[in-house]
Amino acid sequence: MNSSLIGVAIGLVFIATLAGILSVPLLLRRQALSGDLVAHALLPGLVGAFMITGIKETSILLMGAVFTAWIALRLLSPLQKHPRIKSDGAMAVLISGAYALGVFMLSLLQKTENATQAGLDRYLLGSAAALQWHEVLWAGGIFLLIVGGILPNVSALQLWLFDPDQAKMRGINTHRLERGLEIGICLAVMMAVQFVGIVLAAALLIAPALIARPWVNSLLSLWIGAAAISAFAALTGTWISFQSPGMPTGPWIVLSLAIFWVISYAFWYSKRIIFQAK
Amino acid sequence: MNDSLWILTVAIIASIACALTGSTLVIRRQALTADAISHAVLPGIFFAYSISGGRNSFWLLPGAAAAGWFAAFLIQGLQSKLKLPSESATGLVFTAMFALGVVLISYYARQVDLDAECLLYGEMAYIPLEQFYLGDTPIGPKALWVLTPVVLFCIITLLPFYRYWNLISFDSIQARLLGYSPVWGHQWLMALVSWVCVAAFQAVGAILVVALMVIPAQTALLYARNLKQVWIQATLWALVSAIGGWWLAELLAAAYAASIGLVSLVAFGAVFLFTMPRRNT
Repeated sequence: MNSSLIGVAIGLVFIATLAGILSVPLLLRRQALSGDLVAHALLPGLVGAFMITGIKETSILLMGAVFTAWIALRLLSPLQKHPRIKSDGAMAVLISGAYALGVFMLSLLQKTENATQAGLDRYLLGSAAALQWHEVLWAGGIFLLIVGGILPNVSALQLWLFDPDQAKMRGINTHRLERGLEIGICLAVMMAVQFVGIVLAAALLIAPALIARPWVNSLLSLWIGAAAISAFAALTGTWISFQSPGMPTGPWIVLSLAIFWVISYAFWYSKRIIFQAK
Repeated sequence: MNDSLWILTVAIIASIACALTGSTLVIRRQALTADAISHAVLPGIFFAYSISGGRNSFWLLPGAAAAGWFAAFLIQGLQSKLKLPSESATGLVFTAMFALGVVLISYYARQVDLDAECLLYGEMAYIPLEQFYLGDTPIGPKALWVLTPVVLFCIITLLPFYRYWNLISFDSIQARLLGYSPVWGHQWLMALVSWVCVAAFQAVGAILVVALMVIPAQTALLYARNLKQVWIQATLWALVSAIGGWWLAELLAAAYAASIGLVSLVAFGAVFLFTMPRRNT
C-alpha cells in the first residue's frame, strides 16, 4: 500500500460513482450513448481552447472541452426533428463528426509541434496512474456539486424520468432538469476522460445502471445500486492494475464492470427460467 | 504516380466501400453498429497477431473482422434475448471488447510490438510508403490492394440484389412472406461492415471509417426516396468528401482522414439546413 495507490483509488472512486449516478437517468431516458458523444466532442474544445489561448493550463482547456461537448449534446434534439433522421443516425453523425473535427484541429496544431507539449494526446487513451492529489480534490468537488444538485430535486427528477408529460403538467421546470443533466454528464465525462480515455469513459456511464437494473424496483434503490457497483468496480480495477507494472487502470475498471454485468444477468436469467419452469 | 495521388486513390476507393455498406446500415437503423464494430475489432487483432506473429500477417484481417462480426452478433443477441435497449447493448459490448483489447495488448506489450493507438488511428500520409511488390517491382500501395477486393465484393453482393435489400430494410414481414430471410441479410451485412472496417482502418483510421460510413449515408437519406437513390447519392457524397477533404488537407497540411470527415460533416450540415421542413407559424 503506497500513497499513490490510495490517491488513485480515491479519485477513481469519486469519478466512477459520479458516472454511476448519472448512468441511471441516461438508461431510463434511453440515451445511454450520450456519454460516448460527450467524450468524443470534448476533443475539438480542448484543442480549440489551446489554439485560442495558447496556454497549457488544464482548467482552461477543460472549460473549452465542456463547452463543445455541451453544444454537441444540445444538437441531438434539433437533428432528430428532421423527419428523415432517427436517434441512432443523429448520434452516429455527431460522434464521428465531432471527433473528425477534433483530430483535424489537432493535426493543424501538430504542424506547429506543440500538441504533445500540451499533453493533448493523453486524452485519447487516458492515464489513471498520473492522477495527482489536486485532481482528486477536483473530482471530489465536482462529485459534491452534482450530488448536491440532484438531492433537492429527487422527486421532480423521478416524475420527469418516468412520465415527462405528467411532470410538465404539474408545473415542473423540465428544461431546467434537462440542462442540469446535460451539464452533469459533460462534467463527469470530462473528469473520466483524463483518466480512462475517450472510448472507455462512455462505459462508466452505461454499465452501472444496467447491472443494477434487474435487482431493484425503485429509482432510489437503482441509484444506490449503480453508485455502489461503480465504486466497487473502480476499487477492483485499481487493485488489479496495480498488481502488475504497466497495466492500465481504466480498461480494468471497464472490464470489471463487464464481468459484473455478466454475473448480474446470468443470475437474473437463471432465476427467471427456474421460476417460470415451475 | 506521385504520393498524394496514391492517397487520393485510396481515399476514393475506401469512400465507395464505406458509403455502400454504411447506407444499408443507416437505413436499417444500425448506424451505431459501425461505431461499435470499429472499436470491437481490437481483441481480434491481438489474437490474430499473437497466434500468427507479425504485423503484416495475412491473418490480421480475418481475425479482426471475425471480432467485429462477433460484437455485432452479441449486440443483436442482447437486444432480442434480454430486451436491452439498443444503445445500452451497443455501448456495453464495444466498450468491454475495446477494454479487453487494451488490457491484452498492454499485458503482452513486452512480447509484441503493437499498440492500440497506431492500430486505430491510421495515418493516411503513410499509405504510399508501404508498397506492394510483385517480384521486385512496386505495384501500388498495399492499402489499395487490400481495399480493392473489398469494394468489388460490396458492389457484387449489394447492387444486383437491390430487391432483396430493399425488402428486408423496409418491410421485413413482407420479406418473410415472400420467402426471403432477413436474418441472412443481417448477418451478411455485419460481416461486410466488419470487413470494410478492418480493411479501411489500417490505411485510413477508425474515425474516418465510421465518419465515411455514417455521414454521407445520412446526408443522402435526408432527401433520397428509395434504397437505390440512397446508394447512389451516398456514394456521390462520399466521393465529394474524399476529394474535397484531400484537397483541404493538401492546402492546410492537415491530416487527410480528419479533413475528409470534416468535409462530409459540413456537407451534411448544408443538406440538413436545406431539407429541414419549415414550419409556418
